[in-house]
Amino acid sequence: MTTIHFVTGGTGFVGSNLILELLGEPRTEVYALTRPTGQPAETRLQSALRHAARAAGHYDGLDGAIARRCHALEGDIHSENCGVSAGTFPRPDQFWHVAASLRYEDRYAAEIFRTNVEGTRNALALARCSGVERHFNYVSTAYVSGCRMGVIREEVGCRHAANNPYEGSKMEAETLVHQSHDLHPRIFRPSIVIGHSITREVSSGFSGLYGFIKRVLKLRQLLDRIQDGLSSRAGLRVIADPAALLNLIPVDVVARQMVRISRSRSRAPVFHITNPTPPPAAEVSRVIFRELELQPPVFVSDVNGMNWIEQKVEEGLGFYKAYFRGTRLFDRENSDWALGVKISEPGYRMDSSTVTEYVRWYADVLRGTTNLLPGAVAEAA
Amino acid sequence: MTREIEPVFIVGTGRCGSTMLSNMIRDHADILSVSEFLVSVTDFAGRIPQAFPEGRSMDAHQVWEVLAGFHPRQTAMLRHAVEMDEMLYPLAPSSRFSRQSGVPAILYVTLPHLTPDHDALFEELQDYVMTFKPDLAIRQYQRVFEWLKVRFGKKVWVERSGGSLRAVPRLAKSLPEAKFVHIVRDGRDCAISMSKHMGFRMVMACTIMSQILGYDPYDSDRREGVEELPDQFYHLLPEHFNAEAFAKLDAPATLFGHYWSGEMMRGLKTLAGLSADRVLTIHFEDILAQPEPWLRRLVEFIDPSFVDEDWVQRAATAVGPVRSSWCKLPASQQSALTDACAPGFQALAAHGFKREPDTVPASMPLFARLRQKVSPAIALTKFVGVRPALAVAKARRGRIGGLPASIA
Repeated sequence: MTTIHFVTGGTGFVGSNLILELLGEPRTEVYALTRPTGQPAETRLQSALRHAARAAGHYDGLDGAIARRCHALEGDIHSENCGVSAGTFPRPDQFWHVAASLRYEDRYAAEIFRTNVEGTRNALALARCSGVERHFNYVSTAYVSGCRMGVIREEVGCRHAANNPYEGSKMEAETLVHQSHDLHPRIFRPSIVIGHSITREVSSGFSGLYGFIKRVLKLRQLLDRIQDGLSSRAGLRVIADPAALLNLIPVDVVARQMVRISRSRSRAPVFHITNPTPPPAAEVSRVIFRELELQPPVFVSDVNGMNWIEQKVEEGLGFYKAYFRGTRLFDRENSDWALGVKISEPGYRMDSSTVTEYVRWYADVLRGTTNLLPGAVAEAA
Repeated sequence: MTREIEPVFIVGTGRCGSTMLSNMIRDHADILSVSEFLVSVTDFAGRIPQAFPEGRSMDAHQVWEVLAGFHPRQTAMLRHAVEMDEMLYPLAPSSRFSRQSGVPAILYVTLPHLTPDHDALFEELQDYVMTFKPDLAIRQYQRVFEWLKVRFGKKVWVERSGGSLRAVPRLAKSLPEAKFVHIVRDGRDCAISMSKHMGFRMVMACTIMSQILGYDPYDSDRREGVEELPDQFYHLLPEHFNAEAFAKLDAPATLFGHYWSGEMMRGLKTLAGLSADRVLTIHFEDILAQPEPWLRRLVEFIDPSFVDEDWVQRAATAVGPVRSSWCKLPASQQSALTDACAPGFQALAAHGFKREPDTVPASMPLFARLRQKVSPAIALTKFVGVRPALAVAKARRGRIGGLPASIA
């Protein structure tokens, strides 16, 4: 019997990898809500999925399955019922709402909330109209924990101050989802999603760690534009908590765990899709600075004694600063139970050499020494 | 047969005292002072590719588009009343151009610097430029300078633009006969002055925005990646520009200290590659301390036949007080600024132009200080007559201070 999945955000980083994972089950068909931005929705979806498959090391091995079993539905989460009539696609077994705005700046707050909260409301309405059989799966973020530190449990409704509008919008959207009992909702909370665990590659969605790397590179280039070699002469002081952990998790691990949990018998409402053995943020910073040919950063606890450039670097890191402050330990009780306790996952490994491979791949992309797949170039740079 | 005299560019990092020299030279009988031409036609160096298209000829219309263009950075600043102090075009109700219309690049400073009848000169120049056959940009601009030279009965032109040190490689290559006067001022004073100067603040804002975005938002309709801009720069995009955000732009002297060091390191390296007879380096502080010998030396370098003792004496009296001084900063800021300028000082020392970083101009006797306060206004009136002197004073919003040495 064929299983039908409905996915929003299927052309994005997590969404496209989720679809590839779903296709691993032979009798699966995917209907993906797709905006026709610049090209027809079907073309855009097929292209995004083929790029994701190549970044995941499948080369053209999944092209046939993508063409046969993935179908674009033209629509937009900003529209009522996402602009889709329920009768235009088969009744889904599972509904996956992945589409989101990853912006975080205050000046875009209205747009972020429109996409992430109203968009979720529209997705819930569409799921309801479509008569989804089993679950409404919502991809949130582990950083709905906001300013909270320490052990973060897989709970809903523990509202804490958000670091930025992105986190605030995801908190509000989670509440909407959690209250939709009729749809048997599940909330997945990935942490900082990075490239594929084997290839280290990313096909789209250069935010998170990649946004941070790009920002550090631009700061370096700016320093050198102000004065040749300025960036390489002195070590920059950066505010970071030496004990902070940077919870990096590869995209294929995220997709695999979400799909496996969706097929499990777990009735838990929330699942942390996080790395139980995350690397120290300080170590990741050192790797990034080294790969971008900067002197190692000097970690300090506050801005006292920082020179102007260091203060500007600090301000320039904006959203990413929150990753480097304090220690959050994401409890995975629900996830581990659903997956079969203490699964062995090679993708969790984030030692210095592994982090270096991830960072180097993207540094090479930014330097233009790695050929990206067409379509990803403009977004990556 | 008249002897051909090599053109001269007065170059510096910016805010280094070179404007004072332009103003002095304007009064010389034989020398045409071309002021702020390069900085105006390149829109604060943001439109160098348009003003100097690489390896391509420009026809008459293209040349006029550069000279008479309403360039985006200058226009945005003008509309929001944050133009540079150096701007000389009078924005009176009766003026041909206004804040809203924009002012053609060459009318910002260059033509009003030469004559109060700048609008008529602008028309004359247009007629002349329209006769140009296609040629390289620098040759076309050279024709403009030559025409102005003849028009004002001078024998040589001297171009001076703030921050033109970085243009030396291009100028030296295109005009192998050109000579360069490099004005050097203590980087800490330059940096303090830059941090308060509208033009340099705009340059810095555009540099940072271009670096973050990967394109120049003042010369491109692209807007991808604007979400990457911190708020203070987002409000300096042409479509969001406002004077309040510009005033709040955090661009302190230490940042410009690093910039000054970079300019000095690169500039000295370029100048060192030219033959010694093409370069004269003068410390601004030396001119302040002993104007006569240094002004004499400057004119000798331009051409020994132009040395005019009367001019030297008159020009020397126009040396005004310095407004900004790093010595007045709190100790911690002095130290940070000195650190930022250290690579520039080291480069100067390595090229044999060392001045002790801690050197400050010797304090002057009371009478000399009084003379400095009064003499610039008198000198300006003597140089150019009462009407132009008043026009200059008006253009500087009534600040009758003669020729403040700190305007560079």
